[in-house]
Amino acid sequence: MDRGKLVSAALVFSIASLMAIMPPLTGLFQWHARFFGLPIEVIYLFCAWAGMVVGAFLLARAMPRDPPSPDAPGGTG
Amino acid sequence: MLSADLVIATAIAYVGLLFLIAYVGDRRTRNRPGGLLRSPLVYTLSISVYCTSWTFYGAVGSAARNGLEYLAIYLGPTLVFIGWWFILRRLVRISHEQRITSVADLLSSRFGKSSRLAVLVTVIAVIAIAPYIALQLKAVTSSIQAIAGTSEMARGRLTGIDEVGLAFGIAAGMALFTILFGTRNVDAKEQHHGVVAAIAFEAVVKLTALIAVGVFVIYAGGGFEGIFSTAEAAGVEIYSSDTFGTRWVAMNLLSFAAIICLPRQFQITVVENSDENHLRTASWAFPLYMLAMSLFILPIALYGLTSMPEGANPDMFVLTLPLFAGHESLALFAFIGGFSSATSMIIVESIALSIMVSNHIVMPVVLRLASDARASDGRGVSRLLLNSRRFSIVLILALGFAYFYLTRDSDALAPIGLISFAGVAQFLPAILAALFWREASIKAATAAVAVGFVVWAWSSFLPSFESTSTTVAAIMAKGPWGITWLRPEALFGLEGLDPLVHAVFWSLFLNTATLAVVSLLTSRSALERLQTNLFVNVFGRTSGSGQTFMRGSAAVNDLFFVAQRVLGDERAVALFGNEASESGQVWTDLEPTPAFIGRLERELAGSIGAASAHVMLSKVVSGDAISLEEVMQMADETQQAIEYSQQLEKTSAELRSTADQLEIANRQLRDLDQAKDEFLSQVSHEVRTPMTAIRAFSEILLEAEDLKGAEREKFISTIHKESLRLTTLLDEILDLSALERGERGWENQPVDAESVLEQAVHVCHALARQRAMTIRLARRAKAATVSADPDRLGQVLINLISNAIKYNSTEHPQVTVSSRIVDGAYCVEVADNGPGIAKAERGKIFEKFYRGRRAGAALTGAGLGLAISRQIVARMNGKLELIEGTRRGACFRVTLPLLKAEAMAGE
Repeated sequence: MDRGKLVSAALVFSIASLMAIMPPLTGLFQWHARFFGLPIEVIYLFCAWAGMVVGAFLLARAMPRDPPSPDAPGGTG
Repeated sequence: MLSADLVIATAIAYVGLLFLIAYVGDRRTRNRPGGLLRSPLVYTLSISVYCTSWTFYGAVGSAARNGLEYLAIYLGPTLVFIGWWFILRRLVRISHEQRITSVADLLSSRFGKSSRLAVLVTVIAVIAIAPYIALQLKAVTSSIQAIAGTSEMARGRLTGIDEVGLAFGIAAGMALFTILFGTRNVDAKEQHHGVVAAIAFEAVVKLTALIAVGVFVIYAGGGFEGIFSTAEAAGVEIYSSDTFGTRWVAMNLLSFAAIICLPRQFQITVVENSDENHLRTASWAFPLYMLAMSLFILPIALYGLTSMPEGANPDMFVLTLPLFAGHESLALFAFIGGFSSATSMIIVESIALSIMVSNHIVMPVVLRLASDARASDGRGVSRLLLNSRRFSIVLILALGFAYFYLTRDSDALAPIGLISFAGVAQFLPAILAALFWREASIKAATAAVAVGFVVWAWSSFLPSFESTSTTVAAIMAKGPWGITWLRPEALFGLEGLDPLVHAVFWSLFLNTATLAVVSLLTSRSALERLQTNLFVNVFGRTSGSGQTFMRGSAAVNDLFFVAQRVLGDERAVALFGNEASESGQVWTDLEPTPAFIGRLERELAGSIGAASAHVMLSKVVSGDAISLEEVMQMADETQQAIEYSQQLEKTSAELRSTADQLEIANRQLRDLDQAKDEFLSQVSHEVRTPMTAIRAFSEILLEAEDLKGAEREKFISTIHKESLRLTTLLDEILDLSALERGERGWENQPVDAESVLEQAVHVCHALARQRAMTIRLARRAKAATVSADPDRLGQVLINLISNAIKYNSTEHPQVTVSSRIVDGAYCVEVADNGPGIAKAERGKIFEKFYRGRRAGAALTGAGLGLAISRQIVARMNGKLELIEGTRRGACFRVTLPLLKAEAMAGE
């Protein structure tokens, strides 16, 4: 993927993550039911969170590298 | 048996271990850059300083009281990190380039290196963080008391020491520890590798401790199923009915802001970052760390609620659950985990705040007081910096303790932390504007932060003293001086909201509105505009920031003196030596270039902040220092001068070209004037000859009365002939002048040129016979329609043919007339076999009165025939020219364009 697409993908991913943990989407999972002993909304939030981690992991590997700073301080600065 | 003495001894031993790790870490990074200590792993672990004892103890308390709400504190930062590309990446790059050392430095640098804004941000940060420090003190105090409270025996040496005394002891110990830890030396980049190593170690300790307690709880409670079922049976609300409301949104927003704005997070994530790419790893690893930390919080809370006796503090479940179950070693581990999270927070927070206080408050004051930076006593700026930092650390912990003391009656941990979060969140609008909005101005940023702070202090900070102060309680209930719409938790009459949501809404709303409106109403200074470009366009620039505001003529010794004081001997020598070797000059003769002074300013900024570095260097090179405004003004003036001179140049070029045109016109006029004179003199001459003859003959006729009839007749006929010639001449002159001025009415019409030619040849036959010569008709065009005046065309052809007849003096004179069609044009050529026209005369024969020197030819014409002919042909869009004939003699050619249809047919 080219740089523009990747950056757009990162933005879409961030916004989708934000929406996933905000009402009204979170309201979809308030069922008053349990699965493996855990309330559904707990499972949903942790799954969404894990999804963010996985997405961020994939994006971190894919995102383009920035050119070094033109006047970066010498060494490892 | 676990006692207070034992845990305190363990805590001290643990601190010793941390100190050792920091010491080794510092030495290892100094000797060998890179390696594990500068790896993305250690970087990520150190960022987890975000998880303090608020997380370790408070999250369980929060989950016990409000269910899933505690997750909001970790989801906000998760969003910031998975969106690292948009905010954190920019912050890190900008901070590396500009040697930013803190949030205050960041905002000050972006908004024109303003020291006022830096001071404001620093003061707000110190005040807003006080509750957070108090939270840590409270957590550690409570944890020690929880252990001490198990039995009379367990109190040990704590007997007789109350909560406040214990907290004071902890605060003092922490201050001492932080001073030893963080202020051993001043690093130019404000990086503390040893501290980071210790923090990373603590991150591992607190995570394993919390997971260990979590595993224990899951095991003891019979798995998730068992814990949730028991809780549901005991009447605990396990489903979140109203979790995802406004409070959820507000807490997510606050934690989003906190991970960027908290001084310690900025210090660890941005300032201590040694490689921009570490952020890539942290973008997923840090959310993963928080996920792991949060995983067992809810089960621990629910298990605590069902298994612990009524009235047990839920904030201490992590510690009291294993203690209650008799797992003393696990309880000790949990204590160390909680202690770890508190110490790491306090260490990094007070280091970060002390850098802000010393760089933005103490240093500027000292610099202002000392009339000359060089005249300050010999201890150097470096020492001064360290002392001011030590003082700041003591001040910060004292403030934290004071807050703890004043609010000691409130019990829950989480609300205290949220007060701090809401306080530092006031920086968020300004930071985002600094990164993304060019129009944001210093006045707007200062006003916005100030307004946000005041609203926060009124609606969030003040209410926390409600339980200890009756004045505050009265204000809360009735408003100040009875003004009800100013009640802290119902500002402007907005009632019924959760106090946190209320405070967050009003403070951030008014903050952002002020930022936007004031930015639109004010303009930015020159320095602000420069800095804006460096910030907003950080990844778009290709050349160096190279902004230098000093002339390059400062004495190298003065500069070195300053560098030595601030950076230390070693670094100063390295910096100047490097410059000397790069420029190929001897060290002592070094001429500091503006670029070098700029680099020096950045290096200094890394130690004492951008604003202070600017002031300091301005002072040292005061003899030569010019303000940026002056530079910009000079640049403006130069630009104006350049534009003005360009205008002048343009105008003078125009003038030159006009003058050239005038000169050409003048020359033409002179030529014309001369031509007119010549013409007049020629005309006079031409007129005079016949007039003389007429006069002479008429005088003879008048005076000589004895003239014979034949003679008289001859004279009269001569007079008549000369009069005719005169009339013809005048007619021709009039004709020519009318043609030249275009006065004569002229109408071209389609004409068959061949018949006109036929006619002309016919007319000339008589003259030819008179001269005993022939007109030879050579090749002829069949038919040619041209646009012409037939009479005039005939006149031209007759003139040419008759000239050819008249001026032919050879023995067998002959005139050849031919016509043809060439390239859509009709050509008539009239050639004779006479003497021809000398080369020198060829250019002149079309001039007026030029007759040519044709040997033996009688001068019968006025010399206007060819001039008139040429004018006529020109009026018919044709061409009359003298060409090189195939034989000797002259050859004239008339070329007339064919009418279009005719041209097509002819080709």
